[in-house]
Amino acid sequence: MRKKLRQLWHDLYYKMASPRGEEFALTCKHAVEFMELKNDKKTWRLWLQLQLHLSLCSVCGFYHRTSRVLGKAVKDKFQNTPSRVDVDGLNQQLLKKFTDSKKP
Amino acid sequence: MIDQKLLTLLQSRDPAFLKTLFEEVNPFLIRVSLANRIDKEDVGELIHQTWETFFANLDQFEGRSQLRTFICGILFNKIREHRRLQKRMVPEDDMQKVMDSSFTPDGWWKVEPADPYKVMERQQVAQFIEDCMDGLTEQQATAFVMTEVEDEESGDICKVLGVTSSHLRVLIFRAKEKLRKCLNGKLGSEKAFR
Repeated sequence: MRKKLRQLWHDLYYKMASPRGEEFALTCKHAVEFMELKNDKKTWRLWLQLQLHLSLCSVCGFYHRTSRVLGKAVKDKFQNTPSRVDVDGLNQQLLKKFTDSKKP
Repeated sequence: MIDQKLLTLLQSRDPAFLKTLFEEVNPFLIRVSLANRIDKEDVGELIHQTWETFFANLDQFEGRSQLRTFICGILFNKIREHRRLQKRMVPEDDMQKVMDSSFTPDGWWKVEPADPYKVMERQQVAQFIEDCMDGLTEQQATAFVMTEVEDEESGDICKVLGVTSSHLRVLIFRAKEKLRKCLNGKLGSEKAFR
């Protein structure tokens, strides 16, 4: 029943958004793929298609939010937690190694 | 073409330039290594090997990618080799199957994601994220960390991994799916993502 309703919604959305029969509505699969595309790689049209899809499809909205939670959590983890690797020591070792081995 | 001034600084091993280069690039290389679950004892060794390969193959750096992207490409191969030797390779997923198992032929979700915000807090996710990254392949972990943490250009990530942009999008999708399922298990299926 839910799937049927969703497909009806999709058809309605497709026809309303695309009066000249031009493909405008995205499927969830397309929306998810395009979500993973960086903003600077999206055309205005694609950005608009995606925003419209996200505003109408709660399931893709959940996926989008989950994706953002994961992204921010990983960013926090890797940027704000000390890495336990001695970066300064490593840099000094490398500097010594590659400047000492410099060919005359 | 490579900037001649940059090449001269690298070939002459200019100490001031190398110091800045190591300070800028090494934290990034460490994050990529840790995202691939390399033990901290081995991270330094892998980065040493990466720079050795880089200086031995300077003539192959043609300036078509950023310096740090080129170096990250070398590290990525070292990580794969290291994980292979340690028998910690996670088999690559069939990209077509990934999408087919998640979506119906007409593009709808087979299993719908649920609202993550009801009980999920970023702090909770951070507790378990490292463990969950164990299940990612080298390509997935590197793609994910370069996209989400380093905010690298898609084109540069594709060069490091040797994949197309559509393959990269599926890699990131799959990484998120695996992390979501793993966190779901760790946090309790009744609570997380439900």
